[in-house]
Amino acid sequence: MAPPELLGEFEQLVILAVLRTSQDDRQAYGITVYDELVARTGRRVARGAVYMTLDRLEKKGLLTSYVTAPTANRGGRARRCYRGTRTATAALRASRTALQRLWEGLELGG
Amino acid sequence: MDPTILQDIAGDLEEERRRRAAAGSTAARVWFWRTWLGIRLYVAWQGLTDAIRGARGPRLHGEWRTTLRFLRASPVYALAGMAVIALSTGLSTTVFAVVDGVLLTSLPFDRPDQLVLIRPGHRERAGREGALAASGNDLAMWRAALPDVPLGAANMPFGGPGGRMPLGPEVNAIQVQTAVVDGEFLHVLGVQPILGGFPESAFRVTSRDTPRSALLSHALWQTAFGGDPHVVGRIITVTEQPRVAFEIDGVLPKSFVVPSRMDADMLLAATPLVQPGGVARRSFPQVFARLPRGQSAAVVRQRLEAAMAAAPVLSDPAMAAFAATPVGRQQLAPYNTVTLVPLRDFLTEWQGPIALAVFVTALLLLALGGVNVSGLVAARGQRRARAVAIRRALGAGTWAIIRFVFAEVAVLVIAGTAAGFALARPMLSVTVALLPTNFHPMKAIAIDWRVAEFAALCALVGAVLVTVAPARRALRRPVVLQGDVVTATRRLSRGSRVNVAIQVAIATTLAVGGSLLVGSLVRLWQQPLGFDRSATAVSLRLRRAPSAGGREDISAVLDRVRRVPGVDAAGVMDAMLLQQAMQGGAVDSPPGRPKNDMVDMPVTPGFFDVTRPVLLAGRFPTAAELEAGTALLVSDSVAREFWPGAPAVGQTLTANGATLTVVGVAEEARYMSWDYSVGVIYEPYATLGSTRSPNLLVRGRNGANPPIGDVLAAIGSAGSWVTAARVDPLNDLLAATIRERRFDAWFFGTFAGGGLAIVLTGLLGLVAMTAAERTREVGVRMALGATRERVVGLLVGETANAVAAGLAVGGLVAAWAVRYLKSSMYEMGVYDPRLWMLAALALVIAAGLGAFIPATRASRIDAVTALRED
Repeated sequence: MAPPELLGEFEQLVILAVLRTSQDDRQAYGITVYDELVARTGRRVARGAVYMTLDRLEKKGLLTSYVTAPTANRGGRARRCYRGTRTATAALRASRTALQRLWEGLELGG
Repeated sequence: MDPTILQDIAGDLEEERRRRAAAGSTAARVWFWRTWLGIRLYVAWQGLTDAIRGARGPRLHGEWRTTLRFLRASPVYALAGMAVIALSTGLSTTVFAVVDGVLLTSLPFDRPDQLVLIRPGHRERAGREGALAASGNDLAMWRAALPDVPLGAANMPFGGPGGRMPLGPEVNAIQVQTAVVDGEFLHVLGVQPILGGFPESAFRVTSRDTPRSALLSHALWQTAFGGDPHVVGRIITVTEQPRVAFEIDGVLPKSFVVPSRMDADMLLAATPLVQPGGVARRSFPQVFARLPRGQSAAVVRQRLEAAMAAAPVLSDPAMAAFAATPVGRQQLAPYNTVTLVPLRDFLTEWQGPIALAVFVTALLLLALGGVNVSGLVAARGQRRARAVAIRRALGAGTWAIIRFVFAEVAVLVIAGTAAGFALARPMLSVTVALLPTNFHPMKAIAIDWRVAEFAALCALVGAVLVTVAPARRALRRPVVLQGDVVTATRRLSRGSRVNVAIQVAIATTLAVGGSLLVGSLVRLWQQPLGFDRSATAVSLRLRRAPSAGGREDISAVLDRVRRVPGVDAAGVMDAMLLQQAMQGGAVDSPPGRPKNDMVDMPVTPGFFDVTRPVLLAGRFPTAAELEAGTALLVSDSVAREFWPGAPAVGQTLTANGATLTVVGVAEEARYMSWDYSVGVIYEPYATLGSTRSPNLLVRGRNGANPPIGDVLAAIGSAGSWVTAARVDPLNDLLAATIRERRFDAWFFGTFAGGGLAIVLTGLLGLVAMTAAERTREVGVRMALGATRERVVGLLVGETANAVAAGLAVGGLVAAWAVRYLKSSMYEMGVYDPRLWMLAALALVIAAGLGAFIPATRASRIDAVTALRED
């Protein structure tokens, strides 16, 4: 079995935001994922980057999505919500472990 | 990105927009479109970069390489295209950076859609009275009647020396603009200082010895105090008023701007001593209200008017007495109506139309650049026809051909936009330096992310639009490899001629507008001022009741200044100098001759030696006559107005009971504003009841500047009762009075110059490419005996009709559009034939050069060499 894929920094952030949002019994969709990212990281993030990353992660099989019923307050459009997959959690763990191993025994001077 | 995902994103944004709409629908709409545009741009940009990296397949990657090779082989075309894009992008980006803060940025206040300015007035004089201000009484009455409507008041900065004060040595004596606000002001706007804040007690101070509470603007905090986090509690003083001190109680957020036509560096707490409005209408605060939820502006207005109808009383006895006089009835009659002006409308009512006009003109220039590049790309299509034909023969589909054309345009657009963006920075510096002082945007003018987004959007839209026509033509061409695909359309095509005509039409409109405004400014510069402008003005402040109307005090100061080595002459005039304001005076006009459009200017001995008015008749009053208050000088228009048909010299006028003889007539002088000539009555300082705005005018010896340091020391040595408020060379004061005209002329003149340069560059590239295509034809003609002049005539002549048609159409459009410039013209009409001729001539020269230079180059080719081509 191939080792889990290592994730890029922003991909990790987006998956973690999806997992955190879902964990709080909220739906993880574009707006809530973006809000979670900004609130937790304090970074200015392009919304377009969030949406493109969600789309890419779904294509990679790291997220799955489902759509809710269309509502009037969304102009008659459905809401696309995301969930993390087992592959995503495995990839996150692998990325974290790789980083921890790289940090082990390393002291940064200055 | 999948279209369904884009639908999902649109749904997300719509949901968020509705949530935000509760706080203000306009701001929510702006947020929606800005975010939507940002996402689309991001997605498009990512798509483009993926494509460049070859992620979308090696075919487009190869197209980029082909494109770069093609552009290297046609440097004239590549440089012309990039120069045009750079110029139009640079100019429009600069303009966007300026107008963004006026037209497009949401106001930096909490739920700004709920904020209104309350303008009181009199129903019976509706439409006939200017902007009036509420008094402290009105404010108190409104607060009592409408406790649920938060009201805040402020005395806003109004510019000029009166609104500024120099801070003491603690902050290097810089000039700051201040606004005085009451305790509710920041609360109504929903603004929270980032450091400290006004203490409750700040608004109850009744002693002049207690420092006034002040909040610093973020900019002043950074520049004067180095962003010191412990600035709260520091005391600063005003240089000219040693007794006035301020305690810094906080710092305002970076995004905060004063809701006024001028910005302020410092907010001062209104105390009972200087309460906005005082006890009656002695000062003129502006009152802002936040509309409560569920109450429209109309409802609040009705409630305010009902309250005013119930309490139309002036409580201040002095004001009530004044209100009983005829003038007082006009000025102080209790208000009976109000207008609630949305804050955004109030802040943009003056500068909004100007910003819009400049922005529309910039977009016109951008359109001109687009049309120009489109023409270049289309003309180049003739040379590219073979490459397209080969691709189509090898099975390239429609999208492949479009990508091929787009790749070439994209390279030009990206390079041109980058160069234009770099050009925008220095242009913005010049523009900011020329902005009128009362141009007050809601955010700092800078090349920021929004401006970058605008430039990127222009580039994207431009690239797509410019690709459409050439791509359509490329797709329509027959797939013929052998034969004369290239030579069949060698004359300047109809499409190219239409393109040239459109360019010339747009450029004509811009050139006419630019030449009118620049011509108007030049005309103004040529006007005689009526006085020598090489002097320096020192505005004086007197700190005690002057003796004998201030004459003795002023004489003491003058004596000291005249003794300063290097001072040639010095005199004092008591009038607002170049402040675009008029003051009346003590001189009575002859019976039946009103003092229309004239100012009284009390002057001391020495004044005429400094300003040297041009004498038309008689002589200047002597020092003795000025001291005694027995003689005066009038300007030409005063002489004609007061004594039509009769010599003015020898006539008499009265002032404060004394009789004064007119001893001379001088040329008109522009002491009010460079662009406004008024009659002047130079009356002796001795006739003045009390000093108002004394200005010391000093001239240096032998044309040199006066030694200002020594002059100020001499003023200081006269005593602490007199201080110098500010020092300005007359030249600077004059220039300040026409800043708006200079700004208009700079912007529209630059647009006109940019338009001409674009037409010149575009035509140059177009004719150069056409001529290059026709090298063989030129060779044949020359081999058959055609002269070089004939060849040049042939190539230039092909553009002549298009240029003429463009001039005609552009002239018609300009004839309609210039009506909007009427108010900006100085003593000349918008149909001035000389300026129109100048604009047309500039266009013809630009277009002629654009065609002539490449045509001449083409005609220089040797016939034998030319025949070997192709």
